[in-house]
Amino acid sequence: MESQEKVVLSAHKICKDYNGVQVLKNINLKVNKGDFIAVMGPSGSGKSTLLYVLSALEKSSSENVYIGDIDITNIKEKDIFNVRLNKMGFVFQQINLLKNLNVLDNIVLPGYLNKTNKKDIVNKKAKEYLEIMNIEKIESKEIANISGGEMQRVAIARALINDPDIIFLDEPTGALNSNSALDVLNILNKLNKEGKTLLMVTHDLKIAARADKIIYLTDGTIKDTFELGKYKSDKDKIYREKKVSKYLLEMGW
Amino acid sequence: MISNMVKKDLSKNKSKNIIIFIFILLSAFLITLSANSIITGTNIFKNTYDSVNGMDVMYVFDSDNIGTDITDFLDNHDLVDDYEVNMSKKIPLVYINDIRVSDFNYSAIINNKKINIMRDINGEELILKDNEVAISLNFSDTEYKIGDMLTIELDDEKYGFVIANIMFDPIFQSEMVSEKMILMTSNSYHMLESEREASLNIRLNNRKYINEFRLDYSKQTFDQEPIIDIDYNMVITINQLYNAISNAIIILFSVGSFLMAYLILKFIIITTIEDEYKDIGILKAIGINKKNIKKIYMMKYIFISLIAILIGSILSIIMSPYFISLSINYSPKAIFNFIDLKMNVVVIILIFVFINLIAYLNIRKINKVLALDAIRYGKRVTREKGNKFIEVNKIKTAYINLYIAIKDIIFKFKDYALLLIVYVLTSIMIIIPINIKTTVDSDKLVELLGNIKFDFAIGIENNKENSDILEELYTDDDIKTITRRVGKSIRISSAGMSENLFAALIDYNETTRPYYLEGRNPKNINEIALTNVIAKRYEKGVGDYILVGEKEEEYEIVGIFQSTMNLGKTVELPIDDTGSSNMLDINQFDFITYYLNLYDEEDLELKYEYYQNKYPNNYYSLFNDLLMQDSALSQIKEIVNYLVLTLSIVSSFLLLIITSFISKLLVNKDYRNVAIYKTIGFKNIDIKKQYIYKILIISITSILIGSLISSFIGNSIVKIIISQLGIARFNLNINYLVNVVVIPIVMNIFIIFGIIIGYKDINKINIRNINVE
Repeated sequence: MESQEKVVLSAHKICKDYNGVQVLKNINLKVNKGDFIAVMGPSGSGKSTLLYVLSALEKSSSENVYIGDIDITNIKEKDIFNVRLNKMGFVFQQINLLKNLNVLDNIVLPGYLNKTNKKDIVNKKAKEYLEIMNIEKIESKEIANISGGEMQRVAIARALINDPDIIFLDEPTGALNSNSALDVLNILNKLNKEGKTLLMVTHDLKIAARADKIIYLTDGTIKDTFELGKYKSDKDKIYREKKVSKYLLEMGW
Repeated sequence: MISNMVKKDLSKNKSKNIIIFIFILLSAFLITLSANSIITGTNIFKNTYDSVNGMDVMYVFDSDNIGTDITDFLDNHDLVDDYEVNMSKKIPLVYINDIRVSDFNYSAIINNKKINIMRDINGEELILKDNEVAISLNFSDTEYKIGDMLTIELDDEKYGFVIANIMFDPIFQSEMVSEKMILMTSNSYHMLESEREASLNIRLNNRKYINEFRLDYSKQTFDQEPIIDIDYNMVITINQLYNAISNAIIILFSVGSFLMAYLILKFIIITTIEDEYKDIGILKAIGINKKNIKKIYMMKYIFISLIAILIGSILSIIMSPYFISLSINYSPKAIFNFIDLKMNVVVIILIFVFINLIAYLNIRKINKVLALDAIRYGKRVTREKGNKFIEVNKIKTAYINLYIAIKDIIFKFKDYALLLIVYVLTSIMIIIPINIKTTVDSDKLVELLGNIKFDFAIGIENNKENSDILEELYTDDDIKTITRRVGKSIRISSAGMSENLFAALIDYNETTRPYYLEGRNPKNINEIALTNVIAKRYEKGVGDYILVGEKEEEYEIVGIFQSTMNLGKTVELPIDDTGSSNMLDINQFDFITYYLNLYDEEDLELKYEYYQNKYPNNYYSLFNDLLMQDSALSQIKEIVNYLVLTLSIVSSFLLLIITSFISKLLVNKDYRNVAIYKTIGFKNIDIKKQYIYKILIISITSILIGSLISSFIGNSIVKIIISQLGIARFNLNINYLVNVVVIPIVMNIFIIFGIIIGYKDINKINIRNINVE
C-alpha cells in the first residue's frame, strides 16, 4: 500500500454532464508523486474534460477531487486561484503565453504572484529552467519573435516556476513540428525523472509511449489502464511505441 | 438571405448595436436641437415678429402727436409700405401685489391696429376688459402671475388692474431693453393723465432697404426730432446676442457627441470585422463576393442609423420649441408652428449620409479579409510586435497589476486610443459648459456683455442742498470709487446720416469700462466712444471722427464698446466740470446718479441701508435694480444653468455607458489573456484591478488633457463660437480647482462605476474556451 504522502491527486466518482449529456461517469483516479500518466481515448471520450475537471477548470458533480489534501470539488472560486498558483501547472496545445511580456517575464510572473516567494529566488529558478529547457539565449526576446517549440518550452518553464504538485498537459505537442515535439517530450521525461508529476492528455501513441501509465477512456469511463513503466532511455522508444500500439489496437483505437 | 443575416446580426451583436444606436440617436437629437435653436430659433423670432406685423423702423417722439410734414413724407415715400402712429403714456410708479417694481421706464399703451400688434405668448389676439392689463414676461424681477394685481401710481392717484394675460412684445421682449409696456383698453388708457410719447412705426416694402430709408429720413428737416429710433436689424442683433451663450454650449455639445458617435462607430465596425473575421472569410471562401458581404453590414448600419436618427430628430423637433421658448418669450405651442420642417429634413438627411459614409469607409476593411487566414486561423495573421518597456522582473512584485496595466496600454494602444479620445471629448464637453456657467454666474458677465458693474447707486438732485450727502460719500473710507453718470439724447451725424442716440456722460476719472473692444474710454472733451452697433452702421473705427450735437462738433472716436443697453444705441462721452462744453457740462443736469463701488461687497447691504436711512429724500438703488443688468442676465443665467445641468447629467450618463461598454469590449477582445492570467494563478480581483488601472490611467490622462484643453484652448473655442453668435468679446472665468480636481474626480467616479458594470464578464471567462479553438 502506497503512503498517503505520495498521493498527489485522488478523485472519486467524477461525473460531468453538458446539458444533460453525461460526459464523465463515476471515474476514480489516483496519481502518485512522480507519476507520468497519459490519458488516451477516442474523440469525445472525455479526455480533455477529465483534465479540466481534475484541474478545477470545470465544475463537476464529482464526489471529491483532492489535490494533495485540498478538496477542489467544492472549493470557493476565490480559493481555487491559490491552488492553481501553488499546486498545479498547465501546458496546453494552444500556446498560451502573454504576448505583451518577454520570455523571462512570462516565466517569472506566476512566481511573483506567490507572495511567499522571494523575487531573487524566483529569478534564479527561472534562469535554471531556462537552461533546462535550453532557451536561456532567448530570455529577453519578445514572444512574437520565438518559434513554436521555444514557446512551448517557455510554457513548461512557466508551469514549473512554483514547484507545483502536478502538471496538467493537454496535447502539449499538438501544435508543434516533429523536431520541436521531440524536444518537448525529452524535457518532459527529464522532468519526470527529476520527480515531477505529469498528467497528460494525448491522442498520439508516440507521446503516450513516454508515460509510465496509460489510462484509456471510452464514453466517459475508464475502460482500462496500461502500465508501461518508467521511460529510461531512447533505446526503449521503439519497443514502448510498439507496446502502446498493440495495446491501443486491443482497446479498439 | 441578406435580410436574414442582418436580422441574425442584430440579435447577435445586441450590445454593440445598442451602443451605436444610442450615440447616433444622441448626436441626431443634439444636432437637430442646435440647428433648430440657431436657425429655426432666429427664424421663429423673425416669423413671430412678422406675425405681429413688427415694425422695420421706429421713431419715438417726446410729444403728443406727429407732424404732417413727417406723415406726408411717409405717404409719398416709395420704400414705405405702411405706418402707424401710436401714443403711449409714461408711468413712473408701478406696483405688483402692492410691491413696488423696479424703476424701469414703464409706458401704458393701447394695442396697435396695424403694426406691432401685441399678441399673447400663444400668438393669439389679446382681448382685455377695462380693469385688465397685459404685460410682457420680463416685465419685472418681481414674481407675478396671471390674476395678480398691478397698480399704477400717477400724481398720488392709484389705478388698480388685474394682470389678465402675458403679451409677446416683439421689440421689447428682451430683458435687455429698459422700456416696458403695460397694455390696456382704450378706456383705461384715457383715464390716465401723464406725459405722452408718440411712436411712429413704419413697415417698408422690403427690409433690405432699412438703411437707405433711414438715411433718406435723416436727410429731411422735420419740425420734430425723434428722441430715439430703433430698427429691425437692431432687434435681431440683440436677440441673437441674447441666445449666443446657450447656443455656444449646445453647438459645442453636439459637435462633441457627433465626434463620439463617429469614433464609436468606427471602433465597433473594426472590432466587429476582427471578431467575425472567420465568418467573413468563410462567406468569401464559399463564393459570396465582397460587395454582397459589405451589403450585409451596410444594411445593418443603414437600418440602425435610420431608426436612431429618426427617433432622435423627431424627439428633438418635439422638444426644440420648449428649448427655444426659454429664450424667446413665446409659448412652445406657438413656436412649434414655426419649426422649419424642410430645414430639419435636410439636417436629418445630412446626418444620415455622414453616419453611413463613416460606416461605409470603415466597412471597406472587409476587402482585406483573407479567406485562407480566416479558415486556417480564424483571424487575420499578423506578426505582433513586442515592446521594450521595463521588464516585469525588474519591478517590485507588489506593482505587478499596475505594471501589466501600463504595459497593456502601450502594447495595445490602438484599442485604448478610442477611450482616450472619448474621455478627452467628454471632459471638454463637461468642463467648458461648466466654465461658461461659472462665467455667467459671476459678476464678470455684466462686464463681458459690455456693461459697467457698480455696487449701488444714489440719484441726487444737483443742488446745494445735497452737499452733506456728497461730502459724506466722498469721504467714506468704505467706498472705493464714485462715478458720476448722466444721460441725455444727443444727435450724431456723419456722411449725411444722422440720428439721436442715448448718450451716457460718464465721469471716467475714477472708473474704466473694463472691456473695450477697441481703444479706450473717452476722458477729454471732443472724445467719444461708440457701441459696435453704431460704429458698424456709420462704418467708423477708432481714430475716425464723427459729428456730435446740434452744432455738429467734430469728436474723435477713441473707443468701441459693446453694450446691450438700449439695443446698443448708445454712445459715451466724458463729463465736463470746467464748463468749457455746454453739451457736456454737468451743471446743466438736474439730477446726477452716483455709482458706487465698495472695497468689500459684504458691506453692501449695510452701506445701502445707512445712506437710505440717513438721506431718505434721494433716490437709491442697488445695482441690479437700477441698471437691471443682473435682471437682464437672469434669463441667460437660467438657461445656461438649466443647460449645463442637463448636459452634465447626459455627459455623466455617457461616461458610464461608454466606460461599461468599452470595458466589456476590451475584456472580450482580451479574453485569451484573461484566461491565461487565470490559468497561471491570477485571481479575478487581480485581473479586475488591471482593468481598473488601465481605464483609470487612460481616464486620468485624458481628463487632464481635456481639462488643460478646456482651460487654455477652451477660452479661444468659446470666443470663436460666441463671437460668431454676436458677443464681440468673451472671456471664460476659469476655476482651476473645479477644472483640474473636482470635475476629474466626479468623472472618475462615474468611470469606476462604468468599469464595474463592464468587467463583469471577467468572471465568466473560462480557460477551457481558449484551448478548444
